[in-house]
Amino acid sequence: MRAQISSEFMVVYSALLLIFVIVFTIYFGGSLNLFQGLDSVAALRDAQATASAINFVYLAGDGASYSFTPSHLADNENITLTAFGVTSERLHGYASAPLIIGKVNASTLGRMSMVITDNRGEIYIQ
Amino acid sequence: MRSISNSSHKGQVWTIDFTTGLLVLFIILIIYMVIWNGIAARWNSYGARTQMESSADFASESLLATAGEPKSWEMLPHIDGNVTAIGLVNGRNELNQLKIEKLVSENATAYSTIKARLGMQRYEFGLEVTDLGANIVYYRFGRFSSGSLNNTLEFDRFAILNNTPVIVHMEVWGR
Repeated sequence: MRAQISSEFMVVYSALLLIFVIVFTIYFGGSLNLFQGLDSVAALRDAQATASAINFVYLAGDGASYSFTPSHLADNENITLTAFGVTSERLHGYASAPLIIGKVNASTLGRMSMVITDNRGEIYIQ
Repeated sequence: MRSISNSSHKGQVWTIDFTTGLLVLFIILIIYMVIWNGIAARWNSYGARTQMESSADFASESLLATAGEPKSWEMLPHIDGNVTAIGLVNGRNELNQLKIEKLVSENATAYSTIKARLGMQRYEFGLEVTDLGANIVYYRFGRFSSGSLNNTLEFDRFAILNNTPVIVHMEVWGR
């Protein structure tokens, strides 16, 4: 009889352990997804804000100028520019937004306020 | 003998309670996961649609509000890295026939380059210039989804081609 109670206890104890493992796996998986989702959305917001500023200056035509201040940038966030787009990288996620003008004189973006200028179809960021 | 039977019965009741609790917990967990995945999928879908709309908007503005860069890119032998922006007009909405003809002639060889230059690397893109009744197609560039997909963005803009009003029909769609 004692042996039977002990085996029942072991079964229940094993099942409890299994439940904890499943619950914690789901919890940590969900948390990681949440962090990745939040960072991806924030990265997309920053990439689109930068790309929109550059695209609008180009669309406004030669001589157009716009004072742009990147807001909400995280400490570890990097914004890089290529001929085809703006990419924002955060700790848990990244995103990119397209550019319609390929001539931009900068490859990275600082955190301070900057002036974006269209000089004969070439975009200057100072 | 009776004692063993009672003990076994008692243990069984305990296990039924426990199993029922376990089952309820798993059902709750499954519901939680299904709801969470549904929310995430819907969120991604909205985000993707917004991105597509934004890209299409900038592309149409680039085509119908700028001459491109360099301004006379249609004179170059091919559309390649030397063309840093693509536009089809002399002034806003005034289509330049040479630019459209160059765009159409490069359809087979430079479709991907043109699409990327318009900021639509992730999507497919089609453009048609038609009369106001959309009966006569003057020019056709790119790829069309033929209405087979539900993630297609279509829009029409008015323009002038050789002093004649036309419709520039654009279609952006994802795979």
